[in-house]
Amino acid sequence: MTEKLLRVTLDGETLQCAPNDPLAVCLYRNGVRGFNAGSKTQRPRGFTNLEWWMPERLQSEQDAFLSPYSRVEREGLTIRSHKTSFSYRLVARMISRFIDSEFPHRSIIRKRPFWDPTSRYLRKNLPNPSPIVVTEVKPKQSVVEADVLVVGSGISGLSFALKLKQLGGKVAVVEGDYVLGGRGSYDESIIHGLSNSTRSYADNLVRTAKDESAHLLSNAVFDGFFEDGALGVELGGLRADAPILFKAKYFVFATGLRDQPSLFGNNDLPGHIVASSALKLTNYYHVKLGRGVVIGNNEYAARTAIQLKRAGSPVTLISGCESLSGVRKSYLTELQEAGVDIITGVKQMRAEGRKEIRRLMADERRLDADFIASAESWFPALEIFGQSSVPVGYCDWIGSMLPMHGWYGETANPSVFVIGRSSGILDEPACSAFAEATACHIANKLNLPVKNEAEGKLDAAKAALNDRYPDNYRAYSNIVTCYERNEVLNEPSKRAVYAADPYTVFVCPCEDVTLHDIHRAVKEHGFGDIELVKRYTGLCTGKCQGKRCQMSGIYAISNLTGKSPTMTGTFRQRPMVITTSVESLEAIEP
Amino acid sequence: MKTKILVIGGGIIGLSIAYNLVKKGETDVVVIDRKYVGSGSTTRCASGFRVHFFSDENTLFAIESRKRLMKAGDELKFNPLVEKIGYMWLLYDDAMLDAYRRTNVRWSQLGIAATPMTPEDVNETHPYINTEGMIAAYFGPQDGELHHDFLLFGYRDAILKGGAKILEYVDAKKLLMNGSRIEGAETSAASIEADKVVVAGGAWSNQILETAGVKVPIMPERKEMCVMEPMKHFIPGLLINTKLKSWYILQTARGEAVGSVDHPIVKETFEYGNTLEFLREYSRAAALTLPALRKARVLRVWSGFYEVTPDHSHILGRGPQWPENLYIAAGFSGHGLLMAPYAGEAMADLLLEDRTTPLMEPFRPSRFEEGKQINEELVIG
Repeated sequence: MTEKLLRVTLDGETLQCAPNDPLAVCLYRNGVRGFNAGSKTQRPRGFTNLEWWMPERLQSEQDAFLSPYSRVEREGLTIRSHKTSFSYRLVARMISRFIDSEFPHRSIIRKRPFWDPTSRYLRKNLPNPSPIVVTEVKPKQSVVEADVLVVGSGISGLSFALKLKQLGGKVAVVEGDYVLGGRGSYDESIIHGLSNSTRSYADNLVRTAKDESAHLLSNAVFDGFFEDGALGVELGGLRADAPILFKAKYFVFATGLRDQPSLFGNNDLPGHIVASSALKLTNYYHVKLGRGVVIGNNEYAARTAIQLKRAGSPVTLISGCESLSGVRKSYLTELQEAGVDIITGVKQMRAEGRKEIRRLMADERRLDADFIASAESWFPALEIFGQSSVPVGYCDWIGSMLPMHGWYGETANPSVFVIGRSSGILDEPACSAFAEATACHIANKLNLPVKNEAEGKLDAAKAALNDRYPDNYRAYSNIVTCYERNEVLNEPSKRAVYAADPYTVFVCPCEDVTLHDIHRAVKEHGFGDIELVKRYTGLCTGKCQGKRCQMSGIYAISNLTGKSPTMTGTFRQRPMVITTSVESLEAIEP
Repeated sequence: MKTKILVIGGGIIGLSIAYNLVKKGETDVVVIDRKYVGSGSTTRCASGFRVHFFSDENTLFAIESRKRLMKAGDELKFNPLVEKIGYMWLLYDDAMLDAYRRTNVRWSQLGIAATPMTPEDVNETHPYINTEGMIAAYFGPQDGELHHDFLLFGYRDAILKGGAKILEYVDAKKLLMNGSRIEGAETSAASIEADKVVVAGGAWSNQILETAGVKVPIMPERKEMCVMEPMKHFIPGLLINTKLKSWYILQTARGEAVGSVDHPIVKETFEYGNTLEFLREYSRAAALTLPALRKARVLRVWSGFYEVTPDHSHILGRGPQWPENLYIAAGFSGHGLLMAPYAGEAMADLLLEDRTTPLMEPFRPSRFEEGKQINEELVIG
């Protein structure tokens, strides 16, 4: 690369950044893993997910509350993290064991003589960002009108959009990231059954979509359903975000599955990232991650481990299961060829390090690690399905709650469709084929002048998936059968929580909710309802609004109550999808 | 199932009644809620408490309630995070200023004097507030905010420890009548026989009362709310802009800014939902009143129901023509949380000793037919 590097100052320290890289990538490249502190405990924190919805906050003089996913666009950008005063941090760290959900309710603290001055002290000293008065050009609202709005520009979203466009439908695709292609923009695995990689498959789709001048909006987020319209937001990065009004007959969600941080001891330490983010850093941004561990027993864990190893990171693949039963044979062979170390049957797991992860203790083994990548389970954008009253059910094969839908992705909400990985298909060619069938189905609903090819497409897609990936086909048909019979998709979960000190296993990294907090809520206070656990602990109420913790929270609660995840239910989902600044909302013109 | 007292509604009012019953030694109490405790309006509330009302009746009731609220952390096993951060009303016209000036004379007599402030005072103490067009402000230092769920959990914990029952996910379908007597309620689970039945169903109270041929003037009014990411505490107490559709905002102990703006009701059904219209109105008022909020980020929005009566005051007790053994504690018109501690105690007195306290008397259900409505005009949101 011959591009000139830009200078960025973080808390007085100068860093060199590639222009247009997200700030978080720039930090990682410069060896900065942790840049914030946990809200309650003040333990060091980095980020777990490198996504457009990153909940961590940085602050610059001109732009309050920056997302670390904002791109470095100007020379000399000065940002600061939200570290508190040394003394506050010291005290908080010293008593961090007591700062749990029960802390304010402890008998000394809740008494008036103690609480009154304490609350006044906290009001003055809480390490929150300060407000900033700025005067600048106000953002303007834009309107996106189409027959169908597709959310997500991965393989499914683009396949759908291209097919519908070809059939004469008006379609718009929104993508939160500034890179189109979704997971395909950085996953270089060879697709089983095809001779090219996910990345080239997706790149090809993106190129075709651009050639055919499809309506593609990157940096644009679907922000929520409201009674009087659907809201979107165009992410401005260093500038203000602008609202978008979506006017569409149908909404197709191709939002994929989000990787979720695993639950092990000290899983809040900087250096713990999810597998997709590790791949993104390695393959898209070419950051050297160093030695690492990948956790999971499924093909995405295997694919991540293989790619990281090939990119030069010594990797160990770890799983709590006795064997890598969830990995397809072809990937097992690849794992071996790549020379990835494999450890299975791990029961206890704990990360160690002072400011960032240095090693992982897995049972009796000690593994030196600069990063830990979680690929154990995923979940779809539950906030969207909750908002649009689409019921979800638990599917153990995916290890997640999935929206209930029919073969074409149709849901209980007649204007909402779901396709791709968020609907329960994991196989790329199948994502594409089913998405095209959905496009034909919707084309019929739109009365587009095409001959009915939906059924044929669907049958072919079904047969091909069954042939290639029978396990996935079975799980998928199970979801559809339940939807059609109006039954509850309800399987017991076999998900691993690695035994460790429950005070150090963070379920919700935004609000510092640990396993210990959830245990106390369920066992001591007897909160059986997930909403009450949420209100007591603050689980899912932080800046990510459950994007990292929702499924872990459900697992933890269902493990304790003995109820299955479906019966435990999800948290009530409220708009918005991402936190949106007042100045953007101000510009709404309904 | 049989019980002495059945409370229909497991919100803050229902639980406060049950808590006070248990505290007075009556443990044969069952509280039912159609969902989890607090699931109706309590958990959706803005969590402010105040003693400043225009009418004497409400003010006196709120003062009593506040006394009990202050002791809640000492009495309960949960800390309701009560913080006396004050309420600040920003005033923009002379008529409004007059009303506050007049009432403040009365407030001073009651020992809850509010502090009048000029725009210059406000500028000096709270530089973040835009004082353009403002003619004065009133600050009520006795008011504040608390954590509504924690107060509820405190009551719940004490009720359960005291031996009374709380049944969640039990929906009251119908009141059981024998002649002119109420003998319990039919629920989605099983019938519950009870000597006395208290309806504390908030905005939904009429649904159950109607099954006994009783109707009270309670109208559900949907309100939307909005919460922002935590910031340094820079908003003075609960800030109310009286000009901009009574836009208000407060910062919780954690620093999250919660608030709302009075926004025309779209529906009369009990459907929770949110509108873009509200978001726009709210953020415009926010940016006008506190320009520093423009960069603040909204976490989420939600909606809930005010249980509004014609005089914006609650209904406690029973009507003279009502079936025997039927009681009501509802219609709090947005003041449920702050009135709950005393409302529960007064209701417990009524249920156990058949004694109506003088403070509770004006809130009797029959006041609407008697033409003795309470003149309450200090309404927020």
